[in-house]
Amino acid sequence: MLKTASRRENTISPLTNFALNGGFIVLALACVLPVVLVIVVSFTHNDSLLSRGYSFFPAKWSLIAYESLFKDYGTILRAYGVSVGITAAGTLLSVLLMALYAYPISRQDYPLRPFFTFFFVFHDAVQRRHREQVHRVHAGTRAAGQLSVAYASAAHRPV
Amino acid sequence: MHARWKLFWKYRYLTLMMVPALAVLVLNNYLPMFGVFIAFKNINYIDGIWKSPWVGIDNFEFLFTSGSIWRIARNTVSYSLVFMIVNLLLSVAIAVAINEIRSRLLAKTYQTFLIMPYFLSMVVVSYLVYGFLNPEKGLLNHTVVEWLGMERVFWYSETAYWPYILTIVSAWKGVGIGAVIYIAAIAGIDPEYYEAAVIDGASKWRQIFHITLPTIRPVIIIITILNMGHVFNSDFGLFYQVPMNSGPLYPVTDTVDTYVYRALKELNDIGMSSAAALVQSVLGFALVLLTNASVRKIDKDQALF
Repeated sequence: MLKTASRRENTISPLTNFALNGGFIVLALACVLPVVLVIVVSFTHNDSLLSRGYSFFPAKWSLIAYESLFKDYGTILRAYGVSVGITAAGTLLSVLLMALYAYPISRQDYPLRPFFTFFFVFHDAVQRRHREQVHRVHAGTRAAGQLSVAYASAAHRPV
Repeated sequence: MHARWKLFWKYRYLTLMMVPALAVLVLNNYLPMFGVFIAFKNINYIDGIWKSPWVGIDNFEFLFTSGSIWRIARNTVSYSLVFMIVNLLLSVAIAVAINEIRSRLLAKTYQTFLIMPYFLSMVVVSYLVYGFLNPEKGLLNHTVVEWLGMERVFWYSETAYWPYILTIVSAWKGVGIGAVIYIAAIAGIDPEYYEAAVIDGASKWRQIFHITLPTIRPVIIIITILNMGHVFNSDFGLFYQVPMNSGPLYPVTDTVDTYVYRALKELNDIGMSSAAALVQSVLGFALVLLTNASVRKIDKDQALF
């Protein structure tokens, strides 16, 4: 956002700003706390789990869970490798391909524009969701595609 | 005719740009469409795909007479519509609010936290929910029992709460990332509109309703049209993983996708699963065409095609 003079005069009151910030802090906490809970639970001792259940403040801390996890580090490492590899390659390819596809469609003077727009949306509407491994690439393609189409069309708002 | 070829030749580089994505689309999305014939066969592994007997619409008949189709269709459509509306309202509200915060640094920080849940896989999210809803050890049951003195709730057996739980989880996951698109769109609005509005004496609320929202209307419409095509789909992870595949909850958590998956796993009937998936796709496509036609009637420029 440009910090022009108009922007400085047009801001909200300090009270509203305070309220909005408070609201967003609550939202941000709501997004983060579940993950924090699970992290804390992963560090609690079995006995504490049995007696007090999942809590942010366990009675006893321990690394038992991580010990049993890292006994078998080979599988986990490979699983991470697969996840990261697929996501990285998938995202890169999706964004590249979708950007190359979206630009010609966004040009008003491109003759085959209606055909190719329909071609893309048709596949998107009829697309089936496959197994869990392809989920990220698919979501990345769709997100990139939707973003591309959104930007492509937003670029031609009537101004 | 000659003029047409000249036109295409003029735009040859733009067309060339689209070739890689087109290749992916054709190979990955359009060619497999020919597999639709599987829905009209009774596939058994002895005869293979090509030699299995044709059964016409038997698979579809079974699907519609088995009784559960209406339940899963109702679940799928209702949840999709509710999610679409709730997520849209929250995303736009958050986008507008984030834009008004004075400190850009704080706004960016909140945005980062808000989009974080989107990147968690649904399997992980199902265990986050489990941390709260576990009947013996979960945080909610402990709070409910200790602080409020009420009875424990068996979350994974009672169907009444799950429409709300699933809506909350879907919003928790999707609103942050959804807001990103609208934030970007709002950031692109020319400040001169606001200057003019301030000179005319418009309050903040008027500015939001008369400048911000109308300007991002095209983006909202596009995303809504695209989402309408997915009304008959559901987030498989959300409806299968988060309820931990709990049987008593099927009346409120079974959707077309989970039904097809379970049918495939338990009955091993590829033909029937294909039939259900085909019905889903056809309905989704019909809906996109319908929505686009309606939007075109209202405002010709905003239609997708």
